[in-house]
Amino acid sequence: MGVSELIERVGEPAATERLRALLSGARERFTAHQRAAIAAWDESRPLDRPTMSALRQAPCGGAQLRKAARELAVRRRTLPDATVGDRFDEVPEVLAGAAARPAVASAILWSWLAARDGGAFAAHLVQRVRELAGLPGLRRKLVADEPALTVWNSVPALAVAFADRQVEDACVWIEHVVPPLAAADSAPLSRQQQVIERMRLGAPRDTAAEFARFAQLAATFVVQLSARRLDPLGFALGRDVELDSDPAVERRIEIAAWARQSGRFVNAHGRMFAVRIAVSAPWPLRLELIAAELGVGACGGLGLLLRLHGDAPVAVERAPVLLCFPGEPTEERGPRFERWLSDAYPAATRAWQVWS
Amino acid sequence: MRELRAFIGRIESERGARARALDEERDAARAVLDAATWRTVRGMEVDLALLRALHRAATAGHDVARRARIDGQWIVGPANAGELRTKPQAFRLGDHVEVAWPPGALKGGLARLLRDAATELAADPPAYAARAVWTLSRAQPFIARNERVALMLASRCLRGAGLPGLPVDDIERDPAFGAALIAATADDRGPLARYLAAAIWDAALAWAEWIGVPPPPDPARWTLADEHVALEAARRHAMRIPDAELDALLAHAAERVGPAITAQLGTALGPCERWRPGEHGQRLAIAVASAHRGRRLCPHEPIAVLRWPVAGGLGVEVALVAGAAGRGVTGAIAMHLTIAPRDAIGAGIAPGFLAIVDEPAQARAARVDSWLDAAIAHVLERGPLRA
Repeated sequence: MGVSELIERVGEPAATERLRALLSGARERFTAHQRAAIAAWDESRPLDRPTMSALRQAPCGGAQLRKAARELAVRRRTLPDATVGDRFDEVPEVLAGAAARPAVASAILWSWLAARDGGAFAAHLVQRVRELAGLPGLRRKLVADEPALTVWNSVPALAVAFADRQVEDACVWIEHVVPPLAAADSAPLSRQQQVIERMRLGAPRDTAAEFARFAQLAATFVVQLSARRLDPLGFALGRDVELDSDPAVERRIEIAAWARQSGRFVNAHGRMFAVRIAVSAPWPLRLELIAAELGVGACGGLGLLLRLHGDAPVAVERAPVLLCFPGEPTEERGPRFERWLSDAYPAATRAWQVWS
Repeated sequence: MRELRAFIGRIESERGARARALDEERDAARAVLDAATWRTVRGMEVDLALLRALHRAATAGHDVARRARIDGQWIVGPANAGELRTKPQAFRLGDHVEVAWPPGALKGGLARLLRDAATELAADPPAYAARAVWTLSRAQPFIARNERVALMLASRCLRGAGLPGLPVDDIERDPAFGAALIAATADDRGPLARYLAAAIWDAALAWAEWIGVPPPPDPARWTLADEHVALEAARRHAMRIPDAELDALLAHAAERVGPAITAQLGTALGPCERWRPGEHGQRLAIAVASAHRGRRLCPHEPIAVLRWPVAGGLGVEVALVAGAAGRGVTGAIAMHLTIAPRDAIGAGIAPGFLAIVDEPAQARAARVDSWLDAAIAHVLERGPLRA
């Protein structure tokens, strides 16, 4: 099968288009200060600058790519595996289709090249794909032994994994969108808040009724995992699910503080939902699904977090977040939720191991 | 140290092979060695070959090294991993310079040090560790990294003597270690031995805070509930200091804390409030706050807090927190001292004290006294009321 045929055949996950729409709407609403700040922040990446410069030069053919990979290996003092097939000559064709199908293009490049050097050079190509597609860049290192990225022989499965990574990296990007007014504007805090509020109101997100339906389904799924003894918790979950669609100020502040300690930024003022499920443990414990606007809430959507909450907050090392796109149907969000839960549930449980 | 050795031996004998393997991995990391090298050096005799092996590990990946000439000037040359030096050299730490042993005296001097290891470690482990560290620093047997090799050797010897290994990196960077090493002489290594004795107890506390129950190999499913059940079983069997003895120890400490802090701070402390939180949530909050200060307590076991408000201190209070160390499976009690606003999230590591049932009450109280002197100085220097 030719490269263009492969790109055409493997479907781009729907999350890519939803993410693109969300971010392009957000970028239109940004102030000049926000645009400049996020552009500066975009520059910092866990990647090799000379390699990225080489990949950005046009035309970038097989010979240039081979040279860039060789030089990266020298700088990183690694010895690429020569037994892995050399498909550098076909890379430009994949990059040509990257703008329309970034997750598929990333998956193909990864499946071809990641085994050579633990994914070091392929990660740079994935970053180039993101740039061509106008999506936020990599924020976390791509490594070849990451479970979701080890399905070498299945481009469709890898495409799903890369679509998830695109959304994950976008969440970090959204969290780092700065408030709309610069310090140089000498705006009082009240004006800054007014502008943030206006920006938030213009951002798309699910209504309370829409999110409540999803929250109920998600909670039922988690309870069923427990009933079938497939969860990492092991303590029985109660069947009663409590949804708080507008938490009180103290709770919002507590949630935002917990999120910050767990490596996430959520907006304490914005829309927030907390789903609480009782846990039958020997000490007070409950499972909470929290949906909140990420960062200053300028981009729209809701970030979903999972935590085990006792009578004192216990932070997670880095809480995985699921970006809930506005209007996303359950058949799309459901599978993403399941994949997210397979990371988020063990992470929430791990945080409690030292206190068990 | 006899009591600490008994405590460690007792806990280790109760741990399975998998738990002991995890302990070994941790020991290796603290000695800045990979697991295989640590296993090898643990199996070697204490002799020159061991020293060479440690130096090879300490210089791994470095072809060149910086050494001090006898005039104290740094020069760069080949690292010569595992080889005794053949040129004159100096011991240099900061601005302190001493001419090191002549190359011809190295083999004989080192042989004497290493030959005495077994007998001196059995009699007084910190004294032997101090002798080893002092000797290697003044001998400078290798081109470079001699202090690191010395701490690695001390760690290996202490572990072989049934005591905890030392955190080599942390100690090497500690200015107090540097000061004690510089101050030590051939006739008086007392301050260095006291520093290392405190470091050994700190290492034991860190181990007691870390120790848990590892999951069985390849469990089909190991949940938080499984872990809790395993830990509860271990906690039930742990040997603890009797409550009355612990109360007496806290009362003894309380008598010293108030006057000592008042004298050093120049501000009166309010009356001591004793609090034993009865609810799990309260204990968990204290345990989480303690973890922010680098100290791990078990929220499932009793916790005691002694508090003194600082007069005019805007809500700042002195607190002595005591509870079961780590996950509570060793039965050891951990204490730490803080000075901070109530419920504030602290920063930095609070100095900790390990109390074990194996130690007689009188010896424990004496150790608390000397620990408190250092702990009070530490919290006042770094606390919010510092000048």
